[in-house]
Amino acid sequence: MNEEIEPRTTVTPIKKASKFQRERKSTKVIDENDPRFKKYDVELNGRSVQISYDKTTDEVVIDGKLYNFHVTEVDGYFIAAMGDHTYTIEHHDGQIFLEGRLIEFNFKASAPKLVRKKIKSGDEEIIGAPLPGQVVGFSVKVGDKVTSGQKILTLEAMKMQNEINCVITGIVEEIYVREGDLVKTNDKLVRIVVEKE
Amino acid sequence: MSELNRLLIANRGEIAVRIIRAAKMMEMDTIAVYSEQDKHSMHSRLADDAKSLGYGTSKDTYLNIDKLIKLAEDCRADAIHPGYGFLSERADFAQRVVDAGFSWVGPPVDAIKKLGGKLESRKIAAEAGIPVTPGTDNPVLPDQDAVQLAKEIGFPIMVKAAYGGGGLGMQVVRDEDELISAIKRTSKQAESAFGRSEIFLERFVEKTRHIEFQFMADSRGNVVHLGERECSIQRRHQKLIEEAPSPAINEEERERVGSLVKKLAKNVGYVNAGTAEFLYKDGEFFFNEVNARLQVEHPVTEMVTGKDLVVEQLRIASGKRLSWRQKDIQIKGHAIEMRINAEDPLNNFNPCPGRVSNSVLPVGFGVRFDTHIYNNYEVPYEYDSLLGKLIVHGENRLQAIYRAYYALSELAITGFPTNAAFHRVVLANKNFHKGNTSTSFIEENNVIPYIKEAFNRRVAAAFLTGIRSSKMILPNRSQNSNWKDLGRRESSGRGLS
Repeated sequence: MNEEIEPRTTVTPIKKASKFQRERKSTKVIDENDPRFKKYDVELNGRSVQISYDKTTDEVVIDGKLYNFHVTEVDGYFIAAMGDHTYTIEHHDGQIFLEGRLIEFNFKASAPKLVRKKIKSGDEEIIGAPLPGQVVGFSVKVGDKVTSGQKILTLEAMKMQNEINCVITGIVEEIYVREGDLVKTNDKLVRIVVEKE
Repeated sequence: MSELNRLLIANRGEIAVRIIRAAKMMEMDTIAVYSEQDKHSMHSRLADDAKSLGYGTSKDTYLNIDKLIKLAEDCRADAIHPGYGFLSERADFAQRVVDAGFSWVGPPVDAIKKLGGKLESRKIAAEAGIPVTPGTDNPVLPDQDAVQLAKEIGFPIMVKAAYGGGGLGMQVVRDEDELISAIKRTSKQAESAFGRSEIFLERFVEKTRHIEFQFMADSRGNVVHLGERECSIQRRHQKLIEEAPSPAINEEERERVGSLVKKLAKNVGYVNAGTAEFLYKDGEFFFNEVNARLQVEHPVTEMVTGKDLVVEQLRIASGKRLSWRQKDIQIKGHAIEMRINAEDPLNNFNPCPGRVSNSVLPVGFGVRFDTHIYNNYEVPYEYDSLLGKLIVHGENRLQAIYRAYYALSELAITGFPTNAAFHRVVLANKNFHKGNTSTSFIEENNVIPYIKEAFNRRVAAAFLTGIRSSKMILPNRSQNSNWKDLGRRESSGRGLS
């Protein structure tokens, strides 16, 4: 490619950021289950995300959206550019800087997972506590039908009321805790079973 | 009252550090208290003396009145500063402090009692001539009377705990079918969270701004107001961005409401720092409540007035007269405060505590960062998720916004997600630039998908760079033990930090 290398900018300028926010350019949507993609688990500043990567085309897909950065190396730092968005990445002495800001970044190939089973009757979801806290209220009771994404209970942790939702659609089979109980991370809270047809 | 020499700070985190700093300037000895989880928090290090409250939940530690009084006696403190949250607005604690012979750095017990209940404070405000949100004068029960009252006020209705606070114990109800169950639910919540189950109804004003007036009074009847703060950018009724002055109100409104607030303070015999909170919409103020304590967002007022509120609090508590008259209070420039929390805006703002593996905090002209974190500090999950407050000051609002945006882009806290990206997105938003803020700003401007998009782009950029040069860019990929790595780093003399 015969692109002129942009001057190094460490931060997205505020004007550019606000313009981008207003326009909300949509990124291309792509099927990430295509076999040409390899899955990677990426962690950036404590937040994990799974991405799909095609080695031959250098394409990255996150949440079904295509990210196609062009990476150039200049004087020991890297510039990743997509459209008019550029990010500067620098590595020094065991530390990585993105836009001049220290980040914690790591990735590894996702462990090959068994093909995800289709949810069938008799399947269940056990909701565990995502963080330690106190159960302050239930939105459902045993025997209730719930749909995926529905609020199941409220957990108070770090002075915040956190909604705990379910992933599958089914029937509340068992509730392991009572209102007011203190729970630790991963303690079982509620079991939901897919309705038998 | 006489000179205060030893101050006990009955709080933790950022505000304890803030108070210790002020007390040091007043040449007082400072005594920090800490729960065992907080043993390594900065406040217990900065203080001249630190006493343990033992291990346990807030209830056993920072809310344990007996233990706090006992500790204060043991270490011969002569004053107690409660900070914000915890016991700061508890009249019973203030009473115990005064009875034990200590100075209470806060309003008199009587004033806390009068203003603590939202219903009483509404009455007091109305007497001072302050417009109050239409609502019930007395607590309601979940019955038909409540429905009738609600109809008179008009839906949507806010069901509120009379003794609530901190964004908890309130619920919006849009039609009468939901009302009774909402009252029952809120009442139950309030009972467990605040120990009082009384509920009242208030009209819910949509798309409002949250505006509050800071005031300060001494024990000789002098009161000044220090202008307003706007705290409209909220999530789950909890403030995230605060600024002063508000872009919405003018000099005349500031003077008018400011003097009403002063009148209110005089009427209740208020002493020390307090804040009167209002909802504001299209030129109309609706009184909400009085916070009889120092607030989290007090620094924005400090930045625009140049007055140190905590130092003044300590002076007033030692019986001195207010150092300023109203004419000394001038609003200069614009200040913005952003609360940096250990929470993930991409995951419903759920808290995510952890260990601070590294932190680079912004500094520079007009930038202030009030915090208690440092590298390797473990954020305990028992308490709130506030890590620190980034406060900037600029000549005008736009300059303050620009300064805040670029200061935030220097902020790096690694180890767990923070809400820094959220602040950057709001600061870059055109509607925020124009001052079009309201309490539903997050939903109206659809900021969350944009944070997600910006995050994904960074992930993709970092990943594509990393995979190209994975040996170089990912130094921590080695599966060796840390000890082995440490040995290597030591022998090569690199990466010793």
